[in-house]
Amino acid sequence: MTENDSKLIHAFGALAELGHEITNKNNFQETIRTSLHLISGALGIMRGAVARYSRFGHELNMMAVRGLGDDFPLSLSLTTEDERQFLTNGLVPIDIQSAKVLPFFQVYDASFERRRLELFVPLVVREEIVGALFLGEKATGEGYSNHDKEIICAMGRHIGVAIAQRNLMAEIERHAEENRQLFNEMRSTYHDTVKAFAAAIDCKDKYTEGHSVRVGKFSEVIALELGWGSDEVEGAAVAGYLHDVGKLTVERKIINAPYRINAKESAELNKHPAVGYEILLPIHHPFTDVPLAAKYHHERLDGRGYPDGLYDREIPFIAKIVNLADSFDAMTTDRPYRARRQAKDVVEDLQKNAGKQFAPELVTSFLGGMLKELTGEERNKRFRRLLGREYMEADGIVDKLRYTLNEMAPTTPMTYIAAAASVGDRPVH
Amino acid sequence: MNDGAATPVEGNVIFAGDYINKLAGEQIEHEAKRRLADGCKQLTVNFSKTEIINSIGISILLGVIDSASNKGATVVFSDVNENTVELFDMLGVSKHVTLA
Repeated sequence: MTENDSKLIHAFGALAELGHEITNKNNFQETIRTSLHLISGALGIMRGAVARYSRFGHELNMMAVRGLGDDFPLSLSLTTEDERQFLTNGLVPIDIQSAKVLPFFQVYDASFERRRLELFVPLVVREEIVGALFLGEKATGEGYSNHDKEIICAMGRHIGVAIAQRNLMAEIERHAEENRQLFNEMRSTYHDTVKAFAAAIDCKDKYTEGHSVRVGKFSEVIALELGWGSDEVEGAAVAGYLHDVGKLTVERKIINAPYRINAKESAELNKHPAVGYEILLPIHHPFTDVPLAAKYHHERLDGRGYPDGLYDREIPFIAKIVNLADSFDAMTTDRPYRARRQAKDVVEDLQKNAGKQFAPELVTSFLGGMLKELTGEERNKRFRRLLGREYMEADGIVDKLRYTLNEMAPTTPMTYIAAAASVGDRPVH
Repeated sequence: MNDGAATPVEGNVIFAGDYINKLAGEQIEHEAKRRLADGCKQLTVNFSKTEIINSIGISILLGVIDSASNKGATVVFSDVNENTVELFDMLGVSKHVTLA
């Protein structure tokens, strides 16, 4: 085997390793460092550097430097003329003497000379500058042969492609980040709009101030207790906020009537679910069930609700959630014709109407959430914040909740007995 | 063959492992720099166990030679096998070290 054959085999080995290194998902900086080692080791080059081109700063920034000393400039500014010449030259090694005509070389010539650089290779990939190689003298003391330059070109192309891919990934990540920010801004705008709508709806009814907001929050609690994901929970809250949007078209004197309204007025008021649906339908909500919640939030499982008298499974699930949240708020707030009911009575009412008006699984989830808050298992004081601490911490409410939940979804007979005993309703032995 | 072999040190002699790749090369480099910083003027790397040196290993050894030269120290590569001597000759490494 001739020495040239041996050199070629050695260089091919380095080229194969370079390919492997670049396709591995290693740390990019480390990949470039290893690439410089591979070029140097393939041809026995004493020193060198690999730079990445920044098209924003118009500069070559060193990513890997070997043996060029601490005073070697780590960032080289390029002129438009440099860039033009790089592109014209393409990925072809330039001897240092020829490179001296480049404007940037004239600025850094002393540094390059001191470090005995012999070859400069612009890394141009798909007609874009991505970086450059700076190579010092060979350990043999000989100049670079055409064979050497071909090997350098092949290895430089690999490194150039690796940098180009990295640039592309960075660009994609930047766009993805921009899109994420844009999406979050749009989402925030949507939520502000929804809340503004809820406030507008509530403004119309002086007796139920904050009703839509509370229904939104209670719907959110139910969805959370059902174990829904954050997007779905958000959807449930929006459905709650907007469920009464149809009331915007109902006369204020009917909504604010300080007495039980008559049949005619009731018929007028009962149009608000259908009107709400018509208002919400053309809007492109991120949650498609929002208009359905507005339309069917007065339906009941037993078919005695309105507007369509739907039964159980005919009612959209989101409407069942909003129905429960809506009814709970109606029972727990003062109305012009009656004071709000005690929390224990409300719990009893929900239990009594589970399976008739309300979906039982939603009642147990909702009451379960309430119990978790009162026992400290849930730190977020959602109910206390919305209904007042005194109201929610009334005597016996925790026992009442435990007892009700055991009755609705018993866990073991023992817990049933214990809960029953604690509310003074001891079973017969 | 032991990938990334340990690099024991005895006096100013660094014993290279059987395969000088990036990991093993960097171990030699680390030891060499430490000894040069301590004022060592003749650095010896023993290759008696070394069978293969890849391109990264060559590059790192050239770096060691360069560092030693900058510190005014000489480098001896001892017990180098025939194949490795040919590689060192081909790439010009032999011009910068004493082969013993």
